[in-house]
Amino acid sequence: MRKEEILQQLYGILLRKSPAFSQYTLEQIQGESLNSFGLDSIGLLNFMVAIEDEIGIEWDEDRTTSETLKSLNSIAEHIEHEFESVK
Amino acid sequence: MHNTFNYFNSGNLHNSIVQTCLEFAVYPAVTCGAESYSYADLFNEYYSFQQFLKLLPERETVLVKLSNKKSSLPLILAGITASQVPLFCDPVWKEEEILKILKRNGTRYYITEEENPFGACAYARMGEKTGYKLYQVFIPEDELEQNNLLPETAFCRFTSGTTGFSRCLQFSEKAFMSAGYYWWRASAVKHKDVVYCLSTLNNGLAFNTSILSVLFSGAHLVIHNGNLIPSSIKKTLLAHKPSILIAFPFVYEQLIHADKITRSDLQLRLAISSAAPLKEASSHAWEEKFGIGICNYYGIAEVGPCTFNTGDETGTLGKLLENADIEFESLGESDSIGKRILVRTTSMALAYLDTHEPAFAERINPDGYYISNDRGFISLLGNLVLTGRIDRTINIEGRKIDPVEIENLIKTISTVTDVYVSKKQVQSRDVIAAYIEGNGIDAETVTKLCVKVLAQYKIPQYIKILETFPRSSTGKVSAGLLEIY
Repeated sequence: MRKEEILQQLYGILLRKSPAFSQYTLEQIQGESLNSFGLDSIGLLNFMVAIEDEIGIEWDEDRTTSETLKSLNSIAEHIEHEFESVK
Repeated sequence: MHNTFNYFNSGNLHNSIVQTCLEFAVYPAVTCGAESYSYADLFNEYYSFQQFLKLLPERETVLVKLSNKKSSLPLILAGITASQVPLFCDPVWKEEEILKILKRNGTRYYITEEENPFGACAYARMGEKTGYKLYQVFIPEDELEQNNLLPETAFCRFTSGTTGFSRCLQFSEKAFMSAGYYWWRASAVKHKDVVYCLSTLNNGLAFNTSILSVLFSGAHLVIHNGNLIPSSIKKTLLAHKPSILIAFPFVYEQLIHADKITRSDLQLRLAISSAAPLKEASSHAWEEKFGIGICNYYGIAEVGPCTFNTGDETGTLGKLLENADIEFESLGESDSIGKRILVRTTSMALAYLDTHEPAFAERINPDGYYISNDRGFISLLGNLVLTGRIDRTINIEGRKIDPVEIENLIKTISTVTDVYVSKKQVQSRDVIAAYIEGNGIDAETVTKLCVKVLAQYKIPQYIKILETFPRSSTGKVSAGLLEIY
């Protein structure tokens, strides 16, 4: 899966899980820290679970850091890498 | 069981820790991720942390930001038995909150894993042990308040407060041992038990249920490592096969809906949660899926655990622990929805550490009962039923949040004329909602300010900005009308 495709999917999931983000376009938020938009810890966990369910990756604690989860960009890059390494 | 009883009733926590570590030396004491301590290792780390704390003068207070890792357990134990006095705080507090707490509680020292904890205040590193760094914080004398440290205080923990800031509660070693003892008696933790704790150790849910009752039984404590998501939790469940699970309601909610976790993944005999409102439908769904009820108990930071829930009556928080007494105070006309709960235990706090009003003694009635802000009654079967709060404290997934703290912060924005913070359900989840009265304000500005100052769990997830609030004829905010937005 390509990063652009992943980003679109992530954005869709985020809007469903945290409607407060609907006031921003993907371009406005993709490179910014999700925390800076006030996403709380439970919101982030719900987002992570939805990503697993909808995109089909599993978060590996050894490969997932706070930097991985910082922004939509970093999450998309991580997912792209995970898909690449499975090939 | 005989030795466990003796460890609790020795009257000397340090000796009991030493004896239990000797007795269970080769057994696993605590695991986090891939790392473990045996009881022998635990003793060595405990002793090392005691020496580490001696870098500080005797009876000096030190704020301790605990992470959830294996070395936090010996740090907690060493802190409680040392002559220094640790104040165990929330690991998600940010710099501004930490500085306020230090000043308010007359504390110049701070233990944390962070490399550069302060940008706004000078500090010096005094030492390091297993990733924990000890800092001296150079707070100006005129900003450091006097504290009220009592001779019998062994440690402190925090409570959310109701007037805009957290209060620091002082506890004796005896109170800590008492809380652990009566919890152990009710929960019957044994050497063969594996206790999987998904709460941060500073929180009462873990502090009172997962430390001494595990330690003195020679049981095995597994602390969750990583994100609290089903895939991560499943790995730990399969690796350690816990018999006791301790978690906040949102974790149970996640596990109920997680297809990847099935009944065969759990071999629990006890599932414990805090008295946050766990939806009845969720309790039923959990029981149906996993074949065991959730023991949702009642406890308050100021007094410790008060009940133990065997699940014999739905919608209740169980029967009083042996060391707890309860009374109810009339609130007049609204008694039909429950009276004020007054509770007394042998694990109560001694006093607040800070000297602000109200004093802790004002919350204790002449018979020694803590005057809570909870309403409830005892059912016909003798179980405690919680019916609501008297104050505005918000409980979200087991975390108590003082709305006044958030309101005061948002009011610092110059164009804001009023703020009202409450709880709201958004997408079937309880979140903090901030209703803001003013002009020329946007949600982004409000969020940025909150993110800068407040711990993540206090940040409003719903923000509504209005030019004017709906008000009564006397000018009071009509909260009911506001909350319709």
